[in-house]
Amino acid sequence: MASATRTAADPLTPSPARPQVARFGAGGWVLPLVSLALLVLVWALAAWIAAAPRLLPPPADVALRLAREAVDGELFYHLGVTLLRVVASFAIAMTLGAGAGLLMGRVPLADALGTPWLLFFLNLPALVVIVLCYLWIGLTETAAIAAVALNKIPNVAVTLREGAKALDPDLMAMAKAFRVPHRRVLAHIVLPQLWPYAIGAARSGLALIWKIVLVVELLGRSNGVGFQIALFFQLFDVEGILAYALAFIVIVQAIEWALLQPLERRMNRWRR
Amino acid sequence: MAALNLAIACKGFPALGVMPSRTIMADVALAVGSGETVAVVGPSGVGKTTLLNMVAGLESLGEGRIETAPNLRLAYVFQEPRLLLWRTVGDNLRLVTGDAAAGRIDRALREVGLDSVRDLYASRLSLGMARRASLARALVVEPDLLLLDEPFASLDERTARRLRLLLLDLLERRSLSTLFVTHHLDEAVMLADRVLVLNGAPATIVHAVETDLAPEARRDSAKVAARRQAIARTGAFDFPLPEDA
Repeated sequence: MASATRTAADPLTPSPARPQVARFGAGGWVLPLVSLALLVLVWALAAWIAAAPRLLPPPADVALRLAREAVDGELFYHLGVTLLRVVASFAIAMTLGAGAGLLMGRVPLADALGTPWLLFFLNLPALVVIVLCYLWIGLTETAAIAAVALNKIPNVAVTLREGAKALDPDLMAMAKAFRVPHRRVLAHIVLPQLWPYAIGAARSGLALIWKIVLVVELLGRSNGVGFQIALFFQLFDVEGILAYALAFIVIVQAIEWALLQPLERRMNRWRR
Repeated sequence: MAALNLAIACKGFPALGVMPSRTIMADVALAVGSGETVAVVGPSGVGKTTLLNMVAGLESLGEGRIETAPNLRLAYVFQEPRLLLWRTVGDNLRLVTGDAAAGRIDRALREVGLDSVRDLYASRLSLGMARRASLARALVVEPDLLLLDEPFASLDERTARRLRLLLLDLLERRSLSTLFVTHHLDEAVMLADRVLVLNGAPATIVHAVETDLAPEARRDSAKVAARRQAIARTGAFDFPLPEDA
């Protein structure tokens, strides 16, 4: 694509950034690593001062525990179950939320009718939705996933509604004048303008959903990270709680780095 | 046969907020012959862009009718380039032609001198280049009727002149039927076979002037200016012009 015409003599193409900038700059990896190491150091220091390994175990103990849980097989089972719930409710919330948001963004009547509903559901506490789902549907997987999805749908709808409202009318008029077929309008004009909103919704969605999944598991499931944390809570096992939390943070970050960020970079290649 | 026959008995806008409904055009009759270039000039806000939008089907006709060839291929060069910034220049042309037209795309880009930037994102073009890309997008559909709305506004005079000469070449070479709107009287005289003056409230066509210039005279600024002054002496151009025209 664009790289085909890139040459050193091309004044339109910025020269490649110096390697130092790539490593140390805002988008580099050295500073985040230093910052993470600092966090572990602060934790170790706090644990050493507190000198209460049951209440605040040092990082090394948590790492050892994490390894033990992993070797047991238990850790991956619970992580996997939680991850499946995250994926299922994420997919449902993104699909339904995007559908509702696009409809509201394009059809004023849908917007007028839907906005009070949105306000209602946006302000409904997550805990209420979860408890009601369990009461009405029963302590089932369906209830758990429905509760999580219901919590996220309004946020996705609001974001995609803004995206649909921001579609450039001038470009739509251009497409109409040239009689561009609908399929091409969707692929080249509409979707590219919606991508930033969809990725924003996906990103905040992921962060919110995995936290709610843990609450759902704590309240009404007998497996998953949330269930394990409830168990450790009753056993007063801070080490176990931290080990499981850490494992899940790593997974969510991995999704962000391996999936969302490359996707976003790809979508933003055209920007100067 | 004419490429376009437009007759507007009455065109108005409905009331909107505090603005009362108003009639903006009455008794406008306009024809563009095959291969003919027609310019529409007139004061700001008189409805020139509305006229083009009506021809393009972006605006309702009001009480009026439009006659064109069946399955008319229409191309529109808007005042702003309206390119998809997230697509390459080539892909912007492919949007209006489909995939089967690689040869036509290359030819259109060559004609406006943009063949070297085909694979560059449209976001990287200067305004002058974006204008040319927008022109190439119009050429690539091989239009039966070409609409242009102030195609060279807000360009520096040298770039604008270069693009006007380019457009003149293209109009002659492809013998396109063209309707264009401008503030710039010399531009209208240089490019058009016929200049229509839209004025009044509601607006109507108050003058229609043949430019009667030979192809080489159109490329001579002095001769174009002299012809424009001659037309102005008849009183045809007695309307206020914006500062930059």
